[in-house]
Amino acid sequence: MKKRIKQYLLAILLSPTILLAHQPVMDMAPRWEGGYGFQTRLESFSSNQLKQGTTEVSNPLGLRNEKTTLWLEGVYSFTREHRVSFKLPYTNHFKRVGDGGSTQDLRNEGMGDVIVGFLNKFYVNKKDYTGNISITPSLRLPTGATGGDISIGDGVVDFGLSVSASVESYGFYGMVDFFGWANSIESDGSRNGNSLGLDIDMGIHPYHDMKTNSGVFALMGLNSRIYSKSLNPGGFENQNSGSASIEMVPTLIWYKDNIMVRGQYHMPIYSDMNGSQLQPTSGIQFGVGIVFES
Amino acid sequence: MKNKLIISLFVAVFILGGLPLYASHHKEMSHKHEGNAHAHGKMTHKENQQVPKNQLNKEAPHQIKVRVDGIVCSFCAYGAEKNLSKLSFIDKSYYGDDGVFVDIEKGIVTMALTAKKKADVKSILKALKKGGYTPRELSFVDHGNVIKTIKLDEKEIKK
Repeated sequence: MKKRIKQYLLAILLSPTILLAHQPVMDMAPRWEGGYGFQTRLESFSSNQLKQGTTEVSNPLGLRNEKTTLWLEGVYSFTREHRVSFKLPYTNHFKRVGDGGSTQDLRNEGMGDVIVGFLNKFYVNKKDYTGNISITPSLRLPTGATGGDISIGDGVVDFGLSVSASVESYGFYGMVDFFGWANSIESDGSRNGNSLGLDIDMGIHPYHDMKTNSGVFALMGLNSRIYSKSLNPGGFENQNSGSASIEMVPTLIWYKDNIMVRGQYHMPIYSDMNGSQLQPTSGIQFGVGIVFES
Repeated sequence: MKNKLIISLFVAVFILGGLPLYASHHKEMSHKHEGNAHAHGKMTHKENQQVPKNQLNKEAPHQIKVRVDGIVCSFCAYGAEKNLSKLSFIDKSYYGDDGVFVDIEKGIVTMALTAKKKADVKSILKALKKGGYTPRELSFVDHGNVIKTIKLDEKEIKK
């Protein structure tokens, strides 16, 4: 039992952070030379369901993991094809971990690791639609604190790559984003699990008012993630880490002129966890974005 | 802490979203006040300058219409619209406050022209291309009648 609880503890401590795909403010706009934009997003995720593989098991100690993050994001378009973006998180993280039948609450908050992306987009414009293929290498820089009860940052530079395609007509929006993160080994030999993600977003544009330049998008996303096993301090593989999951993400976006407001609900539909781990549970996101001409 | 985050988000919403919305509301209110002043026989500053009041729903007498490939989303077309509205021969008293109307359903950008200045087609095409779009066809419209249409070939588009 004690061993299992220690495994739970390690699994929770090394649970990977939520991966982020592109966001509309980064993808749809600004597509004009010299354009720039900002977006804030508040996201909140919590987990209290323990799983072994695909089976839910009891969680007598009430272990849980709650993470709320406020993101400040920005993008600058040198040209339609070349942009640079940043995503800076401010995170509040709470974990209830167990050891020897007792529980311990761990908490930390602070600035996390900033993600810098270099977007390369190849556009096609046709009479009734526009589309692009994007290749985006990213760096996650160690700006977050590594001390405290829970590390907010991992203290090393991580590398990401995204390949995405999107198409948009007056009534339809679709996007496929395939991406991955390779995490570096930290000074104590530990490493978060590497990850692959595939996001598919399809949606409609049910309302647009030409006179006020305002309207609504309604999207349904299917997000899948695969995490490899992480390494414990000392470089040993953590058997209670690594997972595969799929979630549905209904999204509603309202815009007026250069302002976009979005709300998302993350609904898990499948998860397969190595060993014993808390499975990802539902989460919400709310964001506001604004773009400017130069 | 959650409260702090939520408060921070709302502050950000007010800064990023609220001020531009307030500015646009303030502008609309100014136009309404001008209308009221006119009804009461008072002259506004704008009327003194002989600038017609904003004509949201009226077609401009002199227009250039451009059929543009890829212009299907107004949020994405914001930069192109603002770049066009900066051109000196655009009559900003039409189509809201920028003299440019983007019909994303038909893919047509309409610009109201001032009678005083000659329209520069090259600068229109440049603004659309810098905005991320592909102009295909240009029509000059005078009081609702198309008087000239120019189809752009690939060379002109790439220039």
